[in-house]
Amino acid sequence: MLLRITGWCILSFFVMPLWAQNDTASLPAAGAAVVVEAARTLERVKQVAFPVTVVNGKELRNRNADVNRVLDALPGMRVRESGGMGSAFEYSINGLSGKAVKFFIDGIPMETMGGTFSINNIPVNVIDRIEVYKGVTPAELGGDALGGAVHIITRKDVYSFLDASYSYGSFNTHRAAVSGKWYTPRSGFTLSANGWVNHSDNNYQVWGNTVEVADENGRPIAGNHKYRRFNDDYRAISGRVEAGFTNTAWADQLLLSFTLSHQHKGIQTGRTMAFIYGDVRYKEKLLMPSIRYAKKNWLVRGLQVDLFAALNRVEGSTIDTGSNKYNWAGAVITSGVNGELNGIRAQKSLYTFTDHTRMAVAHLGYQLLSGHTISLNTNARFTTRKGSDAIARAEWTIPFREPQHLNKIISGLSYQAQLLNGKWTNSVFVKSFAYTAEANVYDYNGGQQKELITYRTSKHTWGVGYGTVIKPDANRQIKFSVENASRLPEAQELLGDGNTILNAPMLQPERSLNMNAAYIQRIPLGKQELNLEGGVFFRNTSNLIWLGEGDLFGTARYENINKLRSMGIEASVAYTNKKWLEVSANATWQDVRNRQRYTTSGARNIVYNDRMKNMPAVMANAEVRLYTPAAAGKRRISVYVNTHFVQSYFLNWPSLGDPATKKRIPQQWVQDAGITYAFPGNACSITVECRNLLNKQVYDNYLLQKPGKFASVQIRYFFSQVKHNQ
Amino acid sequence: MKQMFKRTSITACAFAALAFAACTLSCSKNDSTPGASSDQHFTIAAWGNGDDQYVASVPAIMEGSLTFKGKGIEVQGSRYLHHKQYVYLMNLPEKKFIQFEMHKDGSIQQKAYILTDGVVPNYFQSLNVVDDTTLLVLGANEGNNGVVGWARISTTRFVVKDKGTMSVPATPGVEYYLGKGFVDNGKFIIGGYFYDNNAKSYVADGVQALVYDYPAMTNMKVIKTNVTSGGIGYDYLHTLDKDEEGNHYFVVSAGKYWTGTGGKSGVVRIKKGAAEFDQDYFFDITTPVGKQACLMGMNYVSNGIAFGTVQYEADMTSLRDRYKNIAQVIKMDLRNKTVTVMNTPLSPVGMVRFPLVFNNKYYTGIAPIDGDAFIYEFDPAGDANAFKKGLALDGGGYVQVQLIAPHPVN
Repeated sequence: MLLRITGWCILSFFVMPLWAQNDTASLPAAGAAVVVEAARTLERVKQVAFPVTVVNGKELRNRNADVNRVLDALPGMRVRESGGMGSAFEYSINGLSGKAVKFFIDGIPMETMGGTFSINNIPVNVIDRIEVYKGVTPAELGGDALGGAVHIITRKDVYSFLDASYSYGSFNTHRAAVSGKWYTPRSGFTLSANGWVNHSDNNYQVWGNTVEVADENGRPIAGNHKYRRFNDDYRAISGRVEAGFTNTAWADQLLLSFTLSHQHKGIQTGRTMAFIYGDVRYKEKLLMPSIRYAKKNWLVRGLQVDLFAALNRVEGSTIDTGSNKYNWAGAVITSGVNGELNGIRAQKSLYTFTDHTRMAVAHLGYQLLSGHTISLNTNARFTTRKGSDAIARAEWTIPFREPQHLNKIISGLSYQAQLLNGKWTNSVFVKSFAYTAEANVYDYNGGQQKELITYRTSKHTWGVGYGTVIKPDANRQIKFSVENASRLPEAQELLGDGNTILNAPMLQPERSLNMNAAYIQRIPLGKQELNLEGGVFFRNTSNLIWLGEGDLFGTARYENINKLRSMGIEASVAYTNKKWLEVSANATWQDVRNRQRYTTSGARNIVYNDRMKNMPAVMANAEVRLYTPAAAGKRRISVYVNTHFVQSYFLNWPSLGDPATKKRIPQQWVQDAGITYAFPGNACSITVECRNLLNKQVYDNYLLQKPGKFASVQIRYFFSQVKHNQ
Repeated sequence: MKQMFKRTSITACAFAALAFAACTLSCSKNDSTPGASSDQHFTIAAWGNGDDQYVASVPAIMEGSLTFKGKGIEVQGSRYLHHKQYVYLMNLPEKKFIQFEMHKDGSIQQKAYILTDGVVPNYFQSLNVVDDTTLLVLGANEGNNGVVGWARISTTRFVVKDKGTMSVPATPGVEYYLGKGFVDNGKFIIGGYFYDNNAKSYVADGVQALVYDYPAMTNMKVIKTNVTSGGIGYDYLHTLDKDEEGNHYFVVSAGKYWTGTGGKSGVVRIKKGAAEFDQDYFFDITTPVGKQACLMGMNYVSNGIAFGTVQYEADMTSLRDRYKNIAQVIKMDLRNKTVTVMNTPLSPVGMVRFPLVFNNKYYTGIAPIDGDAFIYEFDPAGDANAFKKGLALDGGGYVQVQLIAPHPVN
């Protein structure tokens, strides 16, 4: 197996690749052409042979929205957040969730970049577009995405510009972002930078079950009292500088970049709001230098190459040295406790982990004939985690103090053929997944007492896939794709997160057969347009990697669920009157079931064929957006209102227990609204928004309440060398 | 136009299918209404897979079957107690101590709960009935440094009547862990075990219990017997009981995987009114049963006969094996110190937290992890085969019984 892995690596590294810069290679010279090219890129992505939804970044830039919120409104998507800004979140696409959904930025996997540089922190005004692949993902992305992939492509504007925005909102929430680029066409020298600062007190009100304060008799004080979160503040700052040359004869891109980010936050709760932490803090730093080289027609005509290499260092510290226990009123109810984390086994801790990751991504594409392209890519990551605990008393930190390792090499070879004058596109790929892991657990190992055990795992699997798209005419597309692939455990799943997620060294890779089919219809009606899309999906998954429910200690760990079958339908409709109106709606129904007939001990599984616990079946979104009539091609005021619906679902297996007594995540139906005014010239705009207008109690996870009504105002300024509609 | 109609009709069909699917989402049938024909109902609490736990009533304990499909209150319990018409449960994930009331008609419902944070340190770890209307609960932080908390709870009003702290032994590095206790003759006597946090091992220096003045909960005194070495009165198993004469019996667990160092497990006694161990009494279970049997729990039935459970440490490689098929039911003659291993299947029965003694019979749930599961009835008058299979538990080894409790009757 080692030989196979090495072979793939050597081959891939010598023949290396590219990725997202397809659209930068044919760079237009100025504004109008930029718009046309951007539109073409969007259309080109939509027409790939895989199920993909594309979000145009330009349409987001005047909205005070984070990426999670934008993507949660897409069909088949579900983003589950555990709280306000900076809280943990999880994506689910067509029934597969967690780390099965991978995130990429400009073709680079984001999972080793730490929490500060997470997708939700990236300001929307640095985004060119977001591609969401559902289920089957193209081999070019180079990862082991099994449930789908979210690919953020940052702006590649070929002119100098400055874009800055600032917003202020409820809960003392501030977001500031600035991005800019200086480009000299003659030499190709390029200097770009972007940065952002996010801050929130996250002191929103919570109430209901487990958000209670006891009276002198130990009974909850009567009435529906609301309490503000008091240890949930969040601050993140991130900056990225890139320098090098672009659009020269010898390189489409040669860029050195340096990314630095930092976050500091309070941890208010454990896995449910019953675990109230008043003093626990978490801080994290990321340092990542990287280099990228990309070139079309490299050495020979038709050959594209894109090479990326990075070293990153993530250091995270959990500070749990408090001696008090708090209630939801923020009052100390007990003193002299030994820390707060880990429930009944709390012990003070000062745990710090340091992840060192070496990463290389290489992509090679070659156009054999017109319409026939072959590409090869490899993604190799080697992560070592070291930990320390200055106090070294808490049992939960014992396995984290010794070094742990996770190495992954994922390679893919794909071939794409466009036939019948481009009306029929076929893509076939094969992927290789290999990983080795060395993780620790503190457990019984044949002896009387627990001991530190190191588990060493090594796996290699293959995956294959096929996608096709038929375009009978310019307005119709029929898509079908299938893959049988794996995804490997991620560092957080295997090694834990150092506070509420424990390590799980015996996790097995997840494997799934994914099938998607979709029909897309565009109906032009003069200045109006109707777009319809319907799709079905099927997943047969084994060893689903799943974050288990919170245990008795306020912590949880990832586990494998042996067999699951998912199927579902999604549909969307969008109507546009180009002068003044956009209306869109989508809905998803999914049926995810446990297909494990017998438990691992051999007993009959009484939840066989049960719907998957802790997963919704129905989701829907709708939005109406109005514009003032365009004046000289400029829109000046836009107003929107949208709504978001998620059906209620059970925390545990639905068939067990009396439904009236079961723990459930309540139905979610919230509305947002906003208005944007763009000043003449379109360089400056002001946006006022309100999310969760009716201040409804909203949960994505059991007993982890999300923020209520959130109002904000944003101002944005954009300046560029060329006249450009932003 | 016609073409457009065709195209859009496909989408319309998709929406129709979506709407149909949405309208036919599964809903489990609510089947919690008890049978009306039975005079004596029972409540059974059980763990399913993982953290799923359910409490449901049945109209009979020796016939029929129980499934938690669509039935039972979903709970999360770590400590169980039955007293009179109430079942109590310590819900750790929600930090609530919950009182459920069992009714004559077979129904059971949550009556009230206490928020445990701030009442005693950590959680309600040791639950004890000290009189007809009072529970004494105790809790301690890890690393308690010689101080634990107690609270008295009125079962009628279900409120904390009073609370405080009390001293426990504190040796550097060695921590005392709370066990079960009882009140007799103005004293509160509690078991427990000792653990060396540095060596990560149990410490067993004879058998020790703590004695306090009651109700003051002061004036701690350590009492000891050297008949064996091990922890006594483990907190979440049924490890303390008394006979018709008012003598109390503590389970001594001396297993290397369970509060001891691999010595002899058995039963020790504190006579009625005494605040010392009966130095002449030790009922050795390990030697006659063999296979390094560690006594886990016991329930006194009558006339000196008790039933208990042993787990065979010879069949174990670590503590986590306690949820495998390594335990069995035994009958104990406390007077004559004879033990009979019941010919029941091996199972994790040692982990059943609150078995039942009812109408002079002993009931527990036996659920081999790879086999069928039943409530078993044991007759104290019979031999090793004097047991019957009763209520079948749907799901076999998937379901592990934690508590069996009788409802009040007319």
